[in-house]
Amino acid sequence: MSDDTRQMLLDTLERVLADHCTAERVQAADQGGFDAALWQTLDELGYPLAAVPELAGGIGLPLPDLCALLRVCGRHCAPVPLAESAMLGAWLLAGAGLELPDGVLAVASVDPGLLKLTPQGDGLRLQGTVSSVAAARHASAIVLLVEYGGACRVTVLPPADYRLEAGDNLAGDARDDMHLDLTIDASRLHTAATGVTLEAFHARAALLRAALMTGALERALQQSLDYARERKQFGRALAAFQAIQQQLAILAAEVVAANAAVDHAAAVAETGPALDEIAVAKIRAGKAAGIACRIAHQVHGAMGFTQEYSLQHATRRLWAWREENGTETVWARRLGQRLAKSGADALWPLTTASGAVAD
Amino acid sequence: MSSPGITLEPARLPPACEALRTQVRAFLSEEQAAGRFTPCCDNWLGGFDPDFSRRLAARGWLGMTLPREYGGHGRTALERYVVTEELLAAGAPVAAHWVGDRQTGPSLLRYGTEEQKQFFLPKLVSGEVFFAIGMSEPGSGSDLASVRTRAERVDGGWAITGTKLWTSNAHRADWFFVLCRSAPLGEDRHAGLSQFIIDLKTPGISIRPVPILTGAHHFNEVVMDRVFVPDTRVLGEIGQGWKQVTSELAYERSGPERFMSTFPLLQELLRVVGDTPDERTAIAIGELAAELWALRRMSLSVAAALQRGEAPDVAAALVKDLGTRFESEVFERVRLLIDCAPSLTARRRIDLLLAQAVLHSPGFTLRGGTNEILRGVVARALGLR
Repeated sequence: MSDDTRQMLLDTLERVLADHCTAERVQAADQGGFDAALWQTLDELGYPLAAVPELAGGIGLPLPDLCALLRVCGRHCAPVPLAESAMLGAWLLAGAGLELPDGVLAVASVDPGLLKLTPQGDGLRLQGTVSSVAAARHASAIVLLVEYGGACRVTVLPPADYRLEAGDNLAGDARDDMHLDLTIDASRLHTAATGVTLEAFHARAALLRAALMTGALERALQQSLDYARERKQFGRALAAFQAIQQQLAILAAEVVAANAAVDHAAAVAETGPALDEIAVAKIRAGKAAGIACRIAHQVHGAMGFTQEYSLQHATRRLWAWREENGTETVWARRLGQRLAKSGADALWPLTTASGAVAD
Repeated sequence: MSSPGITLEPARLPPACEALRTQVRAFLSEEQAAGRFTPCCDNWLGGFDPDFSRRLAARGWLGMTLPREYGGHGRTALERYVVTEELLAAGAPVAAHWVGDRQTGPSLLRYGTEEQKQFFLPKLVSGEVFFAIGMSEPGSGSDLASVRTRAERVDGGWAITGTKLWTSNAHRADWFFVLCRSAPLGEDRHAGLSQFIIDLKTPGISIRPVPILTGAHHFNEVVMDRVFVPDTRVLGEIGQGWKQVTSELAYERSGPERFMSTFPLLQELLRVVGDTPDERTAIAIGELAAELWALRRMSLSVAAALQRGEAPDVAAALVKDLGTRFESEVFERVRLLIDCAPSLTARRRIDLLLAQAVLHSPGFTLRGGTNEILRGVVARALGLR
């Protein structure tokens, strides 16, 4: 794909979201909602095919470009599940050689023990609950990834196969519990693409989440900069106060740090396993989120503490998303255990090996 | 809405760098195996070892980026970056050549006369002479343009009078790059400043030690009383000193020494806690490593921008702000994870490294521009001032 095409996809998304995602429309999608008209527009423009390989009729964007698209979504607080539907759900289906159903796809991966999987005749009985499935109530189908018979399997569940219990996260994004009690035929269990394991899938989801977070971080920074320049107190713009300047410089640094970690993880993940790099990206984005939200709200004063002022669209997303797909603690534990196991003398070699290109 | 704030282009090291890295690692393990140095925190300030610097020079790792015509090695800034980060990771004693290799070499190359380049650069590359830099004064710290050391025109040159403070290793270096006021302070505070290259053995110079919190002697007060500097030792143009010293801040501010001063302590933590640490320790290691890795990506991005000929001084200021805070975060975390008794006389390595880190830490966020000054630079770029 040419750089021109990539840039065009980014620019178009930027333009569409800038038009669509007014504060009113973002607010209208709060409490589990979703902007169906926006999804329709994105669908017509082909964005749900962004991660589907070209051979399967998609656009086949590499991960750094997918992350760039999500950064734009995050920046506009776009109330559509592009990451889940296009970059996880459709990507899983295309990898397993399946047709894509119309509409939004939700996606759920099932860790061992979370569901009861019992062979039954020719098929598999699924019993139990998968909690907090993003955009489940808006989906035409839920793509389920399970580990069964020593391999990762993909299956598509139409709404008739599950019962939902509505829930949401701090941002008001739909996060529904999915109750399952059915037997699916073996013919519906498809082998996932080579390299897709539960671990790799979770990492991919975490990377995409971190990319969305970098966009919301940029939004929080932009709004804070604008506000500091406009708002006057003691006869001066807030921006003129050194105390404010220092805080906003710290906020800007957090945004740069999160972006650097996400960019690097996406580049490494495109060419191979990148569990450590994705850990760093999610940890760094999560840390930045806490600092950025604190500073952005402090700079905005009471104004930012209201629902009618749109800063909350970015900050509530940041607070919600840092908990999803693994908190800083979850990823740091894993990274720390691995580094400790490798030993003190391996710490620096592992640091420099990340993303290194050999001769 | 485009990306607000400061953007950094992701960068990856070219393959040639990894071969070079292997050579540097092999050299460093030989040095350590032979007991030629003990890893220390902040050893780019404290580890003054001319012989070590000369052994690096013999491998071609001093003045790497300087052109061959001046004895340099014509390597890229990214190759120098690799050598530098390996030395810091090992906690090697690099203070003797640090200032010359990082700052004076590039300064001379950019602003020096042909004669100055011919005279100084080959000696810098061979580790024959070492350099100190005189910027701060008793009355001028962050407000560098307020320097009062003055240069007066005399027959055949200049007479320098004034006091420089916090000059690292002035007592052991050979040459001293000094920022002076060469014309009276006028409306434009940045005008009338000039740089001079002074032989530290010139009559009229007296050097007094200013021990840091460890009691060690790295800093000095350098008093100059009508010290004669010939015209041939003016650096660049008279009156252009401000532009000259500020144009290379990105080099000084974004290097790995701005986040790796306490790396030896982090590594020692892993040694002490072993391969299956408790959960709290594992999480802390993961968090610290994540910050280290993110900082390294940012620092590499700035290095790559410099190599492309850009002037990423704002990004460099931002990286230094984050990086130097991380250097202190390392010991603040480590001290709470293990039983420790930090002391400079400790027999246990981690206690010793902790003591070095703690007692050197005030310098991390002061030297090369305080973090408050750096955030001011960032705030200006954000359009806030």
